[in-house]
Amino acid sequence: MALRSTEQRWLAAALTVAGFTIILDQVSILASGVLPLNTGMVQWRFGAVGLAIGRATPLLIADALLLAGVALAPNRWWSRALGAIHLLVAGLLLGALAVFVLDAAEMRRLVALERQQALLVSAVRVIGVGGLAAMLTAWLGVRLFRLPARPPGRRTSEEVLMVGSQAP
Amino acid sequence: MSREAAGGLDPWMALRPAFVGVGLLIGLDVASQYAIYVGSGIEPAGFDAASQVALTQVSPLVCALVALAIGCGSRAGRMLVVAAGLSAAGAAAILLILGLIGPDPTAGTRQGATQARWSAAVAVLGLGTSALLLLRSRSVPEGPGESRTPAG
Repeated sequence: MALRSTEQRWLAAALTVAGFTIILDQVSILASGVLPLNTGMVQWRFGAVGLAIGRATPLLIADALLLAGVALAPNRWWSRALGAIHLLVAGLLLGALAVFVLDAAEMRRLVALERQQALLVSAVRVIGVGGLAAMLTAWLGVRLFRLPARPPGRRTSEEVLMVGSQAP
Repeated sequence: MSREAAGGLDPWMALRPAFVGVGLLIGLDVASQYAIYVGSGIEPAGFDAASQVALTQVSPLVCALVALAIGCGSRAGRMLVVAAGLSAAGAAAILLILGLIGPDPTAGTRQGATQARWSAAVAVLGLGTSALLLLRSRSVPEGPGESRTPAG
């Protein structure tokens, strides 16, 4: 059963609200774990980035909901705004990962010898998942920025007139 | 990037690869978390730990399956997704069987063992049903701009 355009718009709105609800929920969980801010402390920075990457799965699910909303009811302004947010998040993620790599090296010197192996495994996981997430987010940002405003087959009256005025 | 490179004029088609990316990344995240937890030897070890972690990962895995199914347009891609879902359900079934035929838990670990068996059963049911529903579906969820012809 095909959805009508009004139903598609409502469904898209519901998916968008659901996506942002998940994002707000995850950010509040993350905030409760990392506040108060202590950016001068290497342990805090290392833990904060690790916690943030640990929230990757629910945030990706929220992103899929937002993307489904955009695909169902394309809107040039909204897709570009979402694209800009994705590019911003990708930049922040890459910056955080760069700091995390330096902090991981520092942390290896600070922890006991028997904990170094576990620390290395966790750091590799965070860098791997975080790096891939940053790449995916950046690619999505570009994709959303260049997203067409409407599905094919729907021409504006202006385009119909242009096609009709062309010589055979 | 041209409009064609962005997937033609249909936003749904343009965003389809994004769903594949999201599904694969969720799968990788879940698998790496699971591997680190079980491999680290955190108590309770063995079946309890594996099954309890499996339960917490069922929801994201089902979401990953759905995202991959939306993203994979071809029949071959969809069959791969179904195979991955059935494999995960099979792994959970093995955990469940190991728990059922294993030695009786001691008084101290009884609650954990019972919870672990329920966890594994939920994983088998959830992942198996999702994969079978995807297998039975005649075509992947389509965008509003696409024709609705049966696949394959």
